[in-house]
Amino acid sequence: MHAAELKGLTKSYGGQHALDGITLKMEENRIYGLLGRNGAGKTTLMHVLTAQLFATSGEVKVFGSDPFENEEALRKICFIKESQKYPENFRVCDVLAVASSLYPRWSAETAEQLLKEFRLPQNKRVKKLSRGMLSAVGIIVGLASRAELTLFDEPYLGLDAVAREIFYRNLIQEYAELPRTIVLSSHLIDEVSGLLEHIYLIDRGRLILDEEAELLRSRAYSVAGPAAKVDAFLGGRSVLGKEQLGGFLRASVLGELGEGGMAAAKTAGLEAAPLSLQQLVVQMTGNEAGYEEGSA
Amino acid sequence: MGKLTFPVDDGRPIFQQVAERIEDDIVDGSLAEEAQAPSTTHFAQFYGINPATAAKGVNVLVDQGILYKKRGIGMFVSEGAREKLLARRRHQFYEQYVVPLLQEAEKLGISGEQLASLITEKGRG
Amino acid sequence: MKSRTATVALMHARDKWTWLFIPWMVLLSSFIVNFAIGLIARPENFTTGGLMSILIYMLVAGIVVIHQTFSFALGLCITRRSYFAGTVAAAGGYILLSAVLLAVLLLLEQATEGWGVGLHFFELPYLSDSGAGLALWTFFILLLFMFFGGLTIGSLFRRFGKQGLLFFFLAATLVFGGWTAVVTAMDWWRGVGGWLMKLDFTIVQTTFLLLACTLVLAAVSYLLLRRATVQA
Repeated sequence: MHAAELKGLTKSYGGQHALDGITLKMEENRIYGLLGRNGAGKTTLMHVLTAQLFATSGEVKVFGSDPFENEEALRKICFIKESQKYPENFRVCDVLAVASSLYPRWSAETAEQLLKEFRLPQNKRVKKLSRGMLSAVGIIVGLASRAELTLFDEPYLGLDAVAREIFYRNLIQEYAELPRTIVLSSHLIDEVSGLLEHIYLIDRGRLILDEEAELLRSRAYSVAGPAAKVDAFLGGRSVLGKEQLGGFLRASVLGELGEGGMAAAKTAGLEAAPLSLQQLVVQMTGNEAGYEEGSA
Repeated sequence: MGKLTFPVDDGRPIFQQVAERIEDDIVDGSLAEEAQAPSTTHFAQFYGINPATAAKGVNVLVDQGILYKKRGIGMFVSEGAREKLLARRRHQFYEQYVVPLLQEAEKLGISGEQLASLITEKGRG
Repeated sequence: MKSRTATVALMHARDKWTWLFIPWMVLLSSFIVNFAIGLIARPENFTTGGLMSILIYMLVAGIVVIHQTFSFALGLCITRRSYFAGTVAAAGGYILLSAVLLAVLLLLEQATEGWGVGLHFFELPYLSDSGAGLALWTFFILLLFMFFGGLTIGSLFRRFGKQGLLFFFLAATLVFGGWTAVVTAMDWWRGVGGWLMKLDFTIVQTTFLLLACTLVLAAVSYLLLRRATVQA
């Protein structure tokens, strides 16, 4: 059974498509990266997955069934979003108490451990928390819930680097101890790229990349040097983008570099190196016209 | 982050880099034979990588007989692992450095004796 | 597995300020003010509308509870069904307790002849001679009706947003205004008034009418929430 399945999922507001024909299948017990620019549709997708928003057309299935008013499926999902609203007079302990009674696999030890590490006072009112502390609350709920499908939407707004480390370290520990399906949406791609097993890249509501992270590591490369030589080298290849500084040209190319490619570039007097995941994402979503396969 | 330069974005799979990292530790002696290797979880946490990937790298070494598993305890370095790795790396060294060196030397017209004296001179300093 | 309805009910119960402290503080302060007036001025058969405060508060609570807790509950993947059931259960229980308390206070008031100053604070019009049972029932129904009225407004806002709410009130005003205009123009007031007089509902009958309205409001509220969304 797949943890989540989307078929032709479309969500439109008026004439605008927030999501446009998204089709994907998430297997259980893997860490998925949901990447894309602000407003690309990642948050909308996660809201539809948890029946908080309704699709305009297409199919949504979580653990084999439609999540709408489906307690059996929803009980297995924990969705931590950056914009979560909490009841006016709730304290941190109130949030945790409510969450703990909703998730059957809730781990009190994990929650306690994280409260300590984040130095979060249990009796503080949520509305009085700083942005970072508020994110910490979400992270604690997300990790301690041990939900079979856990979604994190930019969970570290306001978290400093130390706190983010706490999150990653505990995420790895939790995942190793009790594997589950995790979907992590993040702008800090370099920080999380080592964690991700499979990548979904969304741009303007469309799924433009659906690939194993391991494969993506050798999927694209950059080549740089004198403009004319670079252009010659680029002939016939799938170019993602070009940047020029005087006579120096740097281009990103979709394709495998490999030993042969490296050697060829060297022979041509050019520098070549594989693109990191972050650079790949920037190249694929950075330009005005949107990503087109095979554009030069 | 305990990342430093690992994993490296050189297009090689992370699990392969994990295996090599552990191999390095065995070769330079910081991980002795019959000693326990760090758990995959700790490894993953230290470098900020997916524990499944770390486990994959460890399994590569298990398959090669460099590590073995003690049930309920963890991964341990096999007896003779260091020698095995050194032998492999010596061979790689030959393929990676010596052969091209000889080829380049030939291209530049450096004789075998000149090459040998260059090496011994450098080795002394 | 703990029932999710219970979890939602308990979730509401956790907010002691909104449900416990504030409403009763409001009532208490209103009471004190009126008592002071009664003590000082000693008016004849002093009946106040102080009880209105808690009724209005119930209406507001109904509106506000959704604003406060709906997106939180759905964010934790609670079904709309469980949310509604839990909220109704919590409110029902709370209103029952409040009704009991008000009935007890009414009895006390009657026993002390208006708290010694002739103050009729907890008394409802037309109920002066009725027993505690009827008073309790009436309090209960009134509070319930106000709460669900508020809940429906809150659900309307949740479902259709600010624009929807505005549209609804505009439409309601137009309809009501239009109807009043027609009745006035056609000089039907006497007819309407006479009809209402003829109905001559007893208190009990009125409460059952309110109960029916409350059930309708509850149904409308649920249907609205069923299609309500939590925005990204």
